Amino acid sequence: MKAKHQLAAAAVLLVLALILPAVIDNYWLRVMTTVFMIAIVAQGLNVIVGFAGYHAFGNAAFFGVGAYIAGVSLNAQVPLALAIVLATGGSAVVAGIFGWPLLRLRGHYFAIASVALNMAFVEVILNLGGVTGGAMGLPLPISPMPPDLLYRMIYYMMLGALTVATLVVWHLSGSRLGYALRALRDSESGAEVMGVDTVKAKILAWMISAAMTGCAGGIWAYWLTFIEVGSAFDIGISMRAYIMMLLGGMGTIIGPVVGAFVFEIVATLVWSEFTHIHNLLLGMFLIAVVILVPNGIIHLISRASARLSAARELRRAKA
Amino acid sequence: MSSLLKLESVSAAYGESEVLWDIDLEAPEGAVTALVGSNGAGKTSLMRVVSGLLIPTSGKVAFAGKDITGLVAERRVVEGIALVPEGRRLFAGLSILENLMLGAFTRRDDRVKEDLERVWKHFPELADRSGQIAGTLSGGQQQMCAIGRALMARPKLLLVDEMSLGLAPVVVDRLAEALLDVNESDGLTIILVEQDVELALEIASRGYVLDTGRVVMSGEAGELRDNPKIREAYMGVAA
Repeated sequence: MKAKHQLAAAAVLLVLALILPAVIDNYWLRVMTTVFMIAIVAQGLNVIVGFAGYHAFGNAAFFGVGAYIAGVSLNAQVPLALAIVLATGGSAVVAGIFGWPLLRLRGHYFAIASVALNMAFVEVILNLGGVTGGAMGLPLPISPMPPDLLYRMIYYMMLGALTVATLVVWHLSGSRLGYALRALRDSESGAEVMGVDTVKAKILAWMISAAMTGCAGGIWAYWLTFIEVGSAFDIGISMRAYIMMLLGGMGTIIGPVVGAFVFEIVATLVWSEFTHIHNLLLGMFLIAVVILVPNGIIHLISRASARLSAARELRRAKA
Repeated sequence: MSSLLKLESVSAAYGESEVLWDIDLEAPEGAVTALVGSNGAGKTSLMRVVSGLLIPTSGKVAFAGKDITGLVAERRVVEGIALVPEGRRLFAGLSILENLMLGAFTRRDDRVKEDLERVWKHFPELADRSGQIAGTLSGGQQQMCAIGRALMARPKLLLVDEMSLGLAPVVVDRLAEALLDVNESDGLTIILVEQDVELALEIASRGYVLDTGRVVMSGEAGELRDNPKIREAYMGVAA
């Protein structure tokens, strides 16, 4: 699927998402807000995994970092918009600092190091009890807005962040940095002899990835009004986002968004209809996806449209 | 003729195991220099040293009069060294055009398009399928793309590692023609690493023979070609 087709599809989805709160109830509003949130995390993973080929299994670290930066800032009376900007930028800076040594590791060494980073952050937050609330968790100021309005605002905040993240990925796919990342994903030493500063390219990619993830974490903290390390640094966030990215198609522009939507909606329906066996059914769904759509939904659509146009050419040639 | 590249007493190792000992080598500016030897002689390791992928344990590497011994690979591209690696090593998931443009990654000048046209002229079959994914090309087309990619860097020194490996003679002839053409028209300095000793010494004006990590012989290509020892050891001709 070409970049411009993906962008057109994204624009249609955006228009639908903008009018959706007018027609859905609060339960589905919550589900859709979660879809957007996890799609941002998946889009963040897409940058470091899909483009650069670095398997950051512990990327949820930046979700937690973003959540705690936003939480501490909001408690210090920082305005909401600035708190989210701080969560986004702060996460990027943290990724830059830790990326400098960690991104010299390759393959599974980096994957394990990223998980260790996630675990180390948990310890740091627990031991900074005075600022972060430690093991007790961190309550955030509760918004005076009526709940219906507040939840709609959070919905649009997540949607806005997801739109920006997708635009960043679109821009990245055609940029010099995008070329450099795709080259080093194929062969790191190959990229080096082309003149690519691979360490710099990887650090930049991880900073962009962390910024997206941290932004989602920041909005999530404001949404929940209470955060604690167990849920903010939950490795399950990374895992879910990973599945969504693979399901949609990694290295594509809207794959992670499509994957997040499909997975989360299927999970919600399965959970509400088959409460006792929902994990079993979800597992079977994932196995089916891996077997039937190994490269993701976007690649499946690309293949189908290529076949259609080939068939059309053939018909034209015969006529 | 002055030397564009000069190696003085270069030794190199992969971890504990030493692979190159005391190598002295010069590549005269504007000439084609051949580096020949059998499997495991250290030819590719020497190319890795020149391109910056393997930093020597001792000795000195000088390029255009500048000491580049410790310079990392990506900086050497900016200095003007381009490598066509053994086994092509294209970015298999990227298209031909994307591979070629990656060759020009460090360039900021406005002659990139002109150089792309030149690659298309040398290898028209690449131009016809510029959007095709490089991993799906035939061996010969991949080698054309790899040479084209290196030329896109507009290098001063082109390192070509095992160009002929696994290719049909007719394809090898075309690739050699393209190399000689850029050598003659642009005065591009080339180091050709080959197991096909006859081919290498035919194209080159000077040659070095490498054996078990050491230079065992060097001189004019014609002299080496006529040397009975080389004819017997590398060309299968009885002395």
